[in-house]
Amino acid sequence: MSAPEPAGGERARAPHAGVANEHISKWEWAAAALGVVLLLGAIGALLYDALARPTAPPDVVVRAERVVPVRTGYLLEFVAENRGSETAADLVVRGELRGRGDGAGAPPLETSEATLDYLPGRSERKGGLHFSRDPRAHAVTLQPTGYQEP
Amino acid sequence: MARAQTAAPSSGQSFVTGLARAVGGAVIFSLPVLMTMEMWELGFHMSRLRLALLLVVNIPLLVGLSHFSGFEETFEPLEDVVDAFVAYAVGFVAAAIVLALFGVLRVGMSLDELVGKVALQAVPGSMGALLAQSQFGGGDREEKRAQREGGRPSGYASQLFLMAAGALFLAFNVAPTEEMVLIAHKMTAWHVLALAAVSLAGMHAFVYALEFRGQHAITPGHSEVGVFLRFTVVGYAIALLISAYVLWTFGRLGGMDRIEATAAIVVLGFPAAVGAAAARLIL
Repeated sequence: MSAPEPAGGERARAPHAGVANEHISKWEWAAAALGVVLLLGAIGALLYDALARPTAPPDVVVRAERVVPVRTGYLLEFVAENRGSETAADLVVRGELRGRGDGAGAPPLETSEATLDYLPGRSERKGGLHFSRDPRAHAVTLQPTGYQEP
Repeated sequence: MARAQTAAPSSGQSFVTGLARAVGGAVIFSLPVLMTMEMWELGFHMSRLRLALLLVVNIPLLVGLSHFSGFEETFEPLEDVVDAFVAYAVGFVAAAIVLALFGVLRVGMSLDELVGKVALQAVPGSMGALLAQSQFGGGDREEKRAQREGGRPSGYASQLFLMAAGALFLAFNVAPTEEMVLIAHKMTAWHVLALAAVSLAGMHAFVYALEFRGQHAITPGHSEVGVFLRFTVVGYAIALLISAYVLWTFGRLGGMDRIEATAAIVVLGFPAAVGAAAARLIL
């Protein structure tokens, strides 16, 4: 790209030639600089993510956050965290309640499911499961069951 | 404030006016995509490399738009580059604010998700910011525009560039939706051929309106057949290329066979063709 003419040049000025630098106010320079920073930052973050970080399939951990009594029973609020790098779409989260003394192989007393539209890589999404029994008095299992690629 | 001492007395103030106009343009032009669910989702699951490429490809596009949209009579590369990056800044900031207002950006999302969502929306936003400057421009810019011969850029390459920009803009507005692929699935081969013919005809109507608007064809090359070949056919080819590029960028062509992919390209080629033809009228 050719450099603009020096603003104080000797030659006669055409109405719109040779004064480019004076046309550009310092505010404009500042805004343009912000644009460069944002753009390079975004491109840098994208390239870093694409090239420098390992890609991994969705690796979802679901943990209970709290239990709220509601009109129909109990609401268990959960956070699903994807520790992989790829997005899980239509991710199904299943919660099961068992008696405290029952083993993991025992049939659950109650099951509830929720579907999360999208759970991007390295991100969290929240959801809730309804139960008629109080999850705080039972052994709770929270598990992702399946998803599809977006 | 500072404007009392500066060399150009009202440069600060006029820049603020211009900036407000640019923000308005960014929001107006990108509101359809800001409020499209698929765009938010593409922000985190589309290919990072293709998104980075799109951000880079948009730079020369903005510089070119700044050149052609009538800011200056002469080609001042530096000023056009500065304008392009100002537009990018506006695009990024406007997208971030609007998406945050919509609750699409939240605490707990990964940096990658936030960056992807905002960066993707910054592309149409920055185009809108630039176009707003030319469309709702102030008096002096309008004057400069009018000074130009015929009020629009003349060279053939410039015309093709404008068509590509228009095609990209309109294609970008509809490409993220699932309907593009759904429509392609619904169509038979005959539908695809008919849509291609209608796209060409519609495009030619625009071209005709522009080339023969109330006056005789001046240049010898502007015979009807010549115009059809030079603008309509070439323009439609550009529209199809842009359509394919946008679909590829959004990962919409993955897993499709050649026939289905062609149908999807022709479907998106319809708005792209209209955008290409209209760009020459609007800019």
